[in-house]
Amino acid sequence: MSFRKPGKRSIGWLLLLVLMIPLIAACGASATPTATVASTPATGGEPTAAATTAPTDDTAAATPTEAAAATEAPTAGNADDYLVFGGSGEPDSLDSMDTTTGTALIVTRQIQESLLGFKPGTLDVQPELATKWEPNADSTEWTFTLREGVKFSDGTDFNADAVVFNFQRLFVPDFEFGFRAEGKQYNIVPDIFGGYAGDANSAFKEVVAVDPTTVKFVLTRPVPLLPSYLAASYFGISSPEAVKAAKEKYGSPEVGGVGTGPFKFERWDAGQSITLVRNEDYWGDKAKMPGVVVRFIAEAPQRLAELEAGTIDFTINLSADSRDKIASSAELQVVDLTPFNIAYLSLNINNKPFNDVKVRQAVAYAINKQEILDASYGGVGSIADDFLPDGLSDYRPSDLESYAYDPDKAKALLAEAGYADGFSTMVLTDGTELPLELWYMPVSRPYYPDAKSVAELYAAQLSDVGIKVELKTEDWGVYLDNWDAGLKNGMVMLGWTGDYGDPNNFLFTHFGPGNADEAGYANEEVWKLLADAGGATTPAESIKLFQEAGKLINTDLPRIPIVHAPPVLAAKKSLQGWVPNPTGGESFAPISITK
Amino acid sequence: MLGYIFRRLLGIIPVLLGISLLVFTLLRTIPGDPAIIILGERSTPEQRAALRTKLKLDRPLYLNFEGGNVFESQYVTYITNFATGDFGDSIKTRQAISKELKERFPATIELALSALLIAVVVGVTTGVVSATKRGSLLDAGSMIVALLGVSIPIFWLGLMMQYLFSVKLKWLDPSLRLDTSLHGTFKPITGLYLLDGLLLGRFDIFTNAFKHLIMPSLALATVPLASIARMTRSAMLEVLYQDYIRTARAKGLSARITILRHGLRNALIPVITVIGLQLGFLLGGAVLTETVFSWPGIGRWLLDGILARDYPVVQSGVMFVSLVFVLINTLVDISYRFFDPRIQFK
Repeated sequence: MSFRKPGKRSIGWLLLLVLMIPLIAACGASATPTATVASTPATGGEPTAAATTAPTDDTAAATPTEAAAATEAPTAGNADDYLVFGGSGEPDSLDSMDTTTGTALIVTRQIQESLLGFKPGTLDVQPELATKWEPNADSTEWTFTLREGVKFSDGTDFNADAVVFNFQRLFVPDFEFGFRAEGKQYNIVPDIFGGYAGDANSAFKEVVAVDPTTVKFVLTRPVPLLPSYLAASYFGISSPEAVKAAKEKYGSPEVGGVGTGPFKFERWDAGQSITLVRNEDYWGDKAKMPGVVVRFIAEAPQRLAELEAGTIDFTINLSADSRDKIASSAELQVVDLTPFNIAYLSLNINNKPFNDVKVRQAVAYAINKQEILDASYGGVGSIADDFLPDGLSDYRPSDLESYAYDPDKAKALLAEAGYADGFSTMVLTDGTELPLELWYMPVSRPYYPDAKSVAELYAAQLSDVGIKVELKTEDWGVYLDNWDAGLKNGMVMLGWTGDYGDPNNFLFTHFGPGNADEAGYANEEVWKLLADAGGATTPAESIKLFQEAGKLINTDLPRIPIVHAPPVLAAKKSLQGWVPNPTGGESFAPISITK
Repeated sequence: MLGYIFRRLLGIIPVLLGISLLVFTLLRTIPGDPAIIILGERSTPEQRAALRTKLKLDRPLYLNFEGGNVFESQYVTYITNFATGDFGDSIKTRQAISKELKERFPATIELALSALLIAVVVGVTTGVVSATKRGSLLDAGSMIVALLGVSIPIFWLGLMMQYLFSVKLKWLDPSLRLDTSLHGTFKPITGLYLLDGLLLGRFDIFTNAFKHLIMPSLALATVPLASIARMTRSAMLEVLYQDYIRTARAKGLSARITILRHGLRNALIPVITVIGLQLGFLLGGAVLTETVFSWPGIGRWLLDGILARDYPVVQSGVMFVSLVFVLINTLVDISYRFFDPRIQFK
């Protein structure tokens, strides 16, 4: 008997394992946690809030064993009474300014408050750490009056210096306490402000402390929507002393975050959960429960199972088909949230015949959105006439063409365009003729919970007017990469979830210059209108310009808006006071539960 | 014997060197510059350059032929640091990798050992019973079950178990190693919570950890169980028809003693090989089981490291897992001597 043989065999297996590394890496290429920036125009459709199957950041964590385990018991209340939230993944950091993932921001919102917040359940701005805010005549300077007597949970004072410190960290590339060379990123800044201080396109000039309770933002151009931006969770204010002490490790599992919020960071158990305890010195209404445990549960079926088992109290991003099951349960409730997303079908304008606007409009008339809503979304949600969700309906043109289902009109338009018998191929720019492709996403997102079934409906409806498609899909990472690179031809299904109350978060993101490559739509008039609308000095003018741009997009129709789908949120029936925000940035303080 | 052990241990070094070279090269073949991944695509070239210098990614890859110390290269630094026990810091969490390993690995060990325990006890018993009752309904039945064990996706099995035992019956907890309310109420000694519970006299922790461990270890046990059962059966069948078994029976030994002492003992070598291999696999982390049961083990940790291009985590993590794997196989080889005295090591 040879006793060497097993050894050799095992090494072979080991090599095989090692060789799988690049495969795994390739599969997850664009799904890396750092890539889930909701508002990056370049990644056409990987929103923050849509973290259902987004990567979990297991590695982000490691228990502060020594430090935290020494704390024998939680500081307040009984740990059995803590709320348990089923989060959809592990945060990458608890430094609110240095993360863009929804799984992290929902936690930082409880710890670090922003200057402004959202009124419960809406996109309307309300006071948080600032009590008053005022622009100058052309919105290039904004003055914020700060709340007095507020302290960070480490006992240091919240004042104008603290605010300036935080925004210098965020905006000023060579700021001493920015720790950029050590890896801090502040990725959200270019997305919202066009660049950091000193960059050519940056809207930000400086932030100054006028007196201990007044700060002034000086901008390079009018930014009428500054309050909406600053209400987002990205701009949570941290204790300067905590940042200076922890340096680049601020926000990491061993340090956590320190802010003024209703909860304080207590511990972070690698791969499992983050525990927050009530801030007993909170300036506002104190949290109803003594603490919150945020669990990391990446998969939607898992979250549902834990909710049904009673091990979590409330959760987000469940699949659409679980809605009925939850609603009929004796112990659970569906928690409603106005949809703040868009599911769309993009047509590649570089391909014939989609270069003809009549063909694009014909496709829109051929699609029966109501049938899709009923079949794939349980009839819940609203049919989309344009990209803006209902929360931003003020900016919607009043005379939108809704392209309501009308197969006859579709056929007539096709005939006008020279395709009376329909078509089944597409011609690329280099003259190659290929079967017409319709790409559906391999993953589930709140806007397309079951992309394949919707794709099959599209195919059937299009076939009724003579358009024959071939359904295709591929690995999600490759799907997004190819989309970004403009390599996806034919029709492509994608969607978007917004993260702050700005029409450009939907419009510029999809029809701006950064998106011309994806499917060939480049209308400079639209670009200018959107940029001007974002910088308009009065709300009325901003609305007017957005509506003009919306009208052009509505006619050009490079991407067909389909539905605004409500995400499925659920809680135990005994849970009260949870008012989810469309941006995912609500406080857990008012939530209570009888255990 | 000692010489053999020494030579085997020495043989680990080239294996690890080979693996390190492979991991190192593969990681650098994957597209994606860690500096861009860490700093974001909007970072300035200066910021990226500064970070590359800090992470020593600006050094030559294998050997430095650009003047200066020839060993001042990324690969040599990696190898020498690993050899001296310096695993580096995770790029993503900015924590020491040794610290993360210390937290993650005990979770994996606890799960792997309990799964293996179930697999060995049930697998060997099933194997022996089916071999002795060859061709019976019991044999066919248990081999079908073994086949199912290999074929059923763990992910599905885990979900079904959760549904039955957590959602419907509410007997067991669907995930984690402990209830979250027990987190932070004790200072782990070994990191194996069952053991810690006993050592600290905290029986609430012991029973709670046990309840949390049942489902994941049962789910994970199905795979090694099936191979152990089938391997035991075939090895037993081979042995049971040997002359010495007939002799044993002829001299009046009971069937039980013959099968266990003369049969099983001789059939053990291939079974132990399988068990050793399986343990090596299990200690490398069980990504699917860890995902379904939110188990904070090493499998997901490594997977996420790969996804985030966390070079130090993947390099040190894979080396660590490989070291464990190779060590266990060496131990298995050495253990043959104790199960079969005929084997002589030279």
